[in-house]
Amino acid sequence: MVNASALPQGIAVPSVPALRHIDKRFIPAELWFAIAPAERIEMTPGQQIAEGTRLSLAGQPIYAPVTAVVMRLETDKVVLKPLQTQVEAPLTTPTFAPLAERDKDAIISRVRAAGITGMGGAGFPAWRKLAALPHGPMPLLLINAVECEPGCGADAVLLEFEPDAVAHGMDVLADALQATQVVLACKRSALDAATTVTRLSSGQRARTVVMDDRYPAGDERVLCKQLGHSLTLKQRPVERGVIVFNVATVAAIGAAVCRGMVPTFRRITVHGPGVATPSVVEVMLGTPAAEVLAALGVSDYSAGVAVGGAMMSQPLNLREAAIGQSTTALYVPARHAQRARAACINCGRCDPVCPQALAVARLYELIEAARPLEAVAALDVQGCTGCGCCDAICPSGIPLAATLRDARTAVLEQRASAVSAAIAKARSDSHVQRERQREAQRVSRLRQRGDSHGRTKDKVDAMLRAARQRRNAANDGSSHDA
Amino acid sequence: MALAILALTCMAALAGAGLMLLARLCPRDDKSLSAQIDALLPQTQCAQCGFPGCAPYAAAIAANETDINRCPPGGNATVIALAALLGTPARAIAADVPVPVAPQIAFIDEAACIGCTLCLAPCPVDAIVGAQRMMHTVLIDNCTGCELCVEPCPVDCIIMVPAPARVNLW
Repeated sequence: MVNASALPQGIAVPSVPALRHIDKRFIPAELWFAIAPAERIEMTPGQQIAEGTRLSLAGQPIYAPVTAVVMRLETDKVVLKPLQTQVEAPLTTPTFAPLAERDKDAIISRVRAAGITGMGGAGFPAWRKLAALPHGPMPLLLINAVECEPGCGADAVLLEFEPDAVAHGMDVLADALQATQVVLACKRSALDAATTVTRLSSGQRARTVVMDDRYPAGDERVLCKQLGHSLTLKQRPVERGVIVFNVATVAAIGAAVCRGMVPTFRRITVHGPGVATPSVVEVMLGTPAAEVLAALGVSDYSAGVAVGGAMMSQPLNLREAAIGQSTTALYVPARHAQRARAACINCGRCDPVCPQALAVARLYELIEAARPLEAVAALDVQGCTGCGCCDAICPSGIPLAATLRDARTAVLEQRASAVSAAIAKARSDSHVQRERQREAQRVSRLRQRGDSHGRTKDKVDAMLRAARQRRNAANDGSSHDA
Repeated sequence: MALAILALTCMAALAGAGLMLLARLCPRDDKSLSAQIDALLPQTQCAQCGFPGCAPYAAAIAANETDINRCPPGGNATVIALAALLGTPARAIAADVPVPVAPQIAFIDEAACIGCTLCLAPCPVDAIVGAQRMMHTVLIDNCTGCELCVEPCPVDCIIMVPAPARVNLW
């Protein structure tokens, strides 16, 4: 567990022993790709799929990492069986030709075609991040290799073993975004590798910045602050002229632009108290998480498996989960990781550790008291990144991060429904108005038709009266009969 | 003494006349209350309350003609909000309205759609596009999940599916 010392903003993490690096590409028995039936290319069980074939029609493109046979087509996933048992390179033939142009639009369309998503964990499509940037030069391109989650080290291995791809990606992005400054942020342990990368990059703009061994030093907001671009809770880095990319994403962009490669592998850390030898391993995208654990000799995961680490983790369903571009690490917790939960003693230790400087204790009090969401939103609960520093420091073992995250989701959902309600109201109003107009037109048309037949309004009214009388008489008659 | 009485009477008369004039100039604003109520309703336009949409239901509540607990899509949260606005006690959702369900949207099985256009007009938010003998489709961003299109379909090709998440936690 993390040794949480009560220094302001974030927590100090102990240096972890070096990770075992498995320098062999791992080929699983099966590959799982979550592609909905409507989005799949046409395939039948038994069919052979060549490596580099695009598997999905819509959405983010997904490519077959290896020549494989279609095993099963399930409702939520496609199951492939790799034909090779060993691969020398991520792909033997590039999917695209190297890109000659280096302007922003060309880069964006290539990144989109290659299906690159953010590889730092959130999985935001990289082309959308690029396309949303304002025009003109970007003051700072920040490349994030600070895997601050205690025990993770895949980024450091990437810097050491693929300095070319990272340097290419840096150059490509720096040119496309006309970045005035390029900063590669890393941990102290990866400083040498990072310096090599910045030396390899052609521009003179790139420099390396070492972050403290604190958590969450790799949070993009904390990074920006460290580099003198402090953000308010409502600002995104772009608004201060900073664009942040994960280092693995940058390497993937470099490979896609300079060599025409699509992402088919990624490095992940497999760690946690349940793992005897924490390791960094290069895994084929689509590999079932359970196969990765089995290959590394992890057999006891009765406490579950999560993506991430001790601080931030998302539970994983091993029956369904496969390694994707945004899977950074597999974390196997200790068997009895559940901490006893006591009542809040108002010690206030959660406030100073919050990297976003939120009033955590007050927020928790409001949420527990089921106060209206407006009151919670007024204290900027939306600024919570869920880093979990408050959880680590809390002597009562209260799941503060989860509580705040749920409140944040509720606030965002409430705002989203207010927006869609306003749109629905406007559309409904115009619908009603149009129906009314149509009705008025119908009436006037009928009236005109009546006039053209020589019937005046009086005559029509008289006929209507007569018709109503006849109907009433008939109704009376029938009711008498009954 | 008499002067004081006269002065006070004059002032009272003037103030009274002023108030009458103001009341004439600014007619009582009944609409604002129904608009306030309408703002609290989810704008699903589903008519499950028995009124043809959210605005008519809001008008009926403002006129004290119906209860505040007849909105299934809004659920208890809407009842509580309405109760707070109107100063009435909150109550459970009425028994004679449909049970609230999780947010959903309409989905047209485009292979089965015969292009009859019967579902177009009932949609209160114009979220179905299509033309005669052309397949129809639902604009998922605008569909409120009111289910009003399900019943008119002669080939039952419209089903309700869970609404996609509106919030992206990126």
